[in-house]
Amino acid sequence: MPFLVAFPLAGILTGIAGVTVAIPALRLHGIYLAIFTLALSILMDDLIVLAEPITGGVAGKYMGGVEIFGHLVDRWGTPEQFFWLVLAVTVLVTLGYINLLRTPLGRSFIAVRDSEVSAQAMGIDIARTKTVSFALSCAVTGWAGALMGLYAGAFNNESFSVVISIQLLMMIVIGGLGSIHGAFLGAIIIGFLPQFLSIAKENVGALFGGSTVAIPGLEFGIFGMILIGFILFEPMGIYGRWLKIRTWFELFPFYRKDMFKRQKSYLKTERLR
Amino acid sequence: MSLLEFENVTLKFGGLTAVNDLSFSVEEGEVFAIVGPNGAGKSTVFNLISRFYDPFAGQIRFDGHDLLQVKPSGVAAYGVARTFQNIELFEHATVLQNLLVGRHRHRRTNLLSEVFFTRSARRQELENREKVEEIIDFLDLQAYRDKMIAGLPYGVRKVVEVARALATDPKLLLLDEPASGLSVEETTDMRWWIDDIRRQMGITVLMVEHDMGLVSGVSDRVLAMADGAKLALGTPAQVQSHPAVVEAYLGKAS
Repeated sequence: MPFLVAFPLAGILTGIAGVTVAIPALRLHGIYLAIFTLALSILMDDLIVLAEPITGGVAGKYMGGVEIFGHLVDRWGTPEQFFWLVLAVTVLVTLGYINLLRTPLGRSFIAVRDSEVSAQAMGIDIARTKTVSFALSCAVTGWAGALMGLYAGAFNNESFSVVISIQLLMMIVIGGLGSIHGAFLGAIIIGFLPQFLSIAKENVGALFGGSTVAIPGLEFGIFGMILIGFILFEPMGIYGRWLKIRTWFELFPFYRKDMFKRQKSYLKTERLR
Repeated sequence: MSLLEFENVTLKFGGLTAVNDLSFSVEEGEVFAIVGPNGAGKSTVFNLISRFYDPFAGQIRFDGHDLLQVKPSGVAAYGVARTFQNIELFEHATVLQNLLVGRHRHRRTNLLSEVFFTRSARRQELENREKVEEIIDFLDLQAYRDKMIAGLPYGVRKVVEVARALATDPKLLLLDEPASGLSVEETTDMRWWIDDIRRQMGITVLMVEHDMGLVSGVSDRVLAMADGAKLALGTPAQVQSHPAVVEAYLGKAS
């Protein structure tokens, strides 16, 4: 199958998978929804092994370069081409999201997030909106997965493990939930952090007259601490911090500390449900 | 035919009868107020119209349609808009975005045309923005257009909620305590706005309100409720002097 056909299909198929997952997930909220999706991703690992005829099972599949309009895109042979391919997909997806955010569907996502009761009173079908949002995010993840397969060259049941999910989650929490800027900021930071850490380790080692600092598990520890730090002190992430600084300057001297606090009090009409 | 009709509606929560065999009808073009002591079931009437609750018995009809056949998200499509007693705005969005959500029931585009922002999606957005700007002008919200709800004072939020309901282009506007927590000046503003909403926009208003000054100032008819049942129905003056109403508020003279 030519890449230009297979690639969109990757998104469409995962989107359909997302809809089927969304139907049971509609009844769940917050932490239970998180547990449900996490369980699914672990289940997926086994499903890939079981579906050996299609997926190649534990042995996995191999992928060489692909050709797009006569250009060979191969991660090892022509890395620049691969970069342009990923960049193009990223730009297109981002543009799609920007468009979505300024049209009714995107606004209905915001509405359902902030108040389900009044979203309903405005004529927004909650179940439908949630299903569409699931399908959309699954489709985009499908495209990301296709690009990742191309990047890795070989992949099996362990290539897309739960570690990736956690890394993606970290990106979005650190960057800022619910914003396009946040996704990019988070990806940049999580992408550069390992490099930064290894440079830092060498420098610290040199400071004490030895070679690099070798403490097993140091990276994961620091990752975890950064995540905890953000959840405790800046739940809105780097983009949220930027918004607060901007608002502070805009409203000076009228900025109030609780301006960005998420209000979830029992007083709200949410107790209706 | 009346715009909104309640016919022998009863709603029970376990052993508590929240609405007891209630019948009334709201005529097109009037301002209709519901008053009563706390726990009389006034807000429950609103939540019944919004289809958040299924009545135990009875009929609710709007504009000739059986509302009980409609799901909660379908009520807006018939032209019913509402505000909430404890403001239910989309906190982490701007005033403009909140009002644009109000335009949702007029959505004609689908996922694909929105992602690609096609000509029809663009045209629809321009129309939505135009409508919303009219309402911003009407309710004097220009200064707050791009502000986040989370940073706005209470009185402004109250007005934004009315604005969002108006953005849906309703036939019937349900106002759940529009003046609660407002200052005297803000209440006076609200009074003129309700008057204008009815006169200029031709929208029927059904409101729950405790401020008797506001109620007698704008409403054509008043329904007094206590313990989920109808006490009295008539002009503001009639209801205020009705013996059963006086008794419900002040207790029986001994």
